[in-house]
Amino acid sequence: MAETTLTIDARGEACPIPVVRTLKALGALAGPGSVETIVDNEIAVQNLTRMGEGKGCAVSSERTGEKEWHVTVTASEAVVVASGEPEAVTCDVPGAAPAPRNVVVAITAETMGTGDDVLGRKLMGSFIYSLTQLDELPATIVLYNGGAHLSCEGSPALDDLRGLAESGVEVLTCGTCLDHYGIADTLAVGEVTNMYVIAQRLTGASLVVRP
Amino acid sequence: MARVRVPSLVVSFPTTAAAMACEECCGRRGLPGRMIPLPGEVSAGCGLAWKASPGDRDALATALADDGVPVEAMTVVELLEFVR
Repeated sequence: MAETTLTIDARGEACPIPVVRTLKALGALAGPGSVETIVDNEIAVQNLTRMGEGKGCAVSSERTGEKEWHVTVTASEAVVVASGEPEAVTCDVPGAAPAPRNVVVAITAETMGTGDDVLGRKLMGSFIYSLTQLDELPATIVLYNGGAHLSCEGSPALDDLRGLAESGVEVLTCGTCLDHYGIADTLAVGEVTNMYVIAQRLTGASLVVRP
Repeated sequence: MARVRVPSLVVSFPTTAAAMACEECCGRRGLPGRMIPLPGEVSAGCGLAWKASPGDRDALATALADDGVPVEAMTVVELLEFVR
């Protein structure tokens, strides 16, 4: 009996869709056979090759046009594709710039660390100054509970926070905290925010830094 | 807002207490500057330092000597500053 050959036209489809469709097709073969996938970029060829070889298949590719490649993944036996595996495929683009980081700094007190509050205030001031010296500034600084004092008038960190805000860093201070401490009228940098936004920023961050 | 590297005077101290004494001294005398963490270009150690303009070196040295604040070194390094 002739082996099954499936053809997928994945031209115009963004990574990782060609890999996802090919992987599903390999699983659907349920035995020896081939999947030929037509793609329009070389990165997709590389990703398909990596996926196919990772599944123990033979992979060949041929450039058939200026923006057309045929990638053939040949399985000598049934390829096991776990439930959810195709959906878990991520796009790997060699040489591409890394995705921008979304660093959020959560400042929860006027002091950094515990022990001596006088020292702790100096350390927090030093930390916020150090943020200004980073090559890559954080995306957001959220200030809550005692940290809310730092974005208000009289704060020793105000100049640094203002510089960060004016450089594109989102500076958010908890409105409930400002009200609690009776300092809502003294907010001097950034915006007042609420817990929904704070929760969104913290959960949406690639990295949360809490000094 | 842009950040540029600006030559800055960094005063380092043998102890954290001396750095805090410098802050008190400068605040009382109205001398310019601010506390920063000791930059790595000055020392690999961990500590607090006083940052001011290079032109403030003599005034700071005199004031700190008068108040008996021990100084480890005065170094000029380039630090990032916001330019408004």
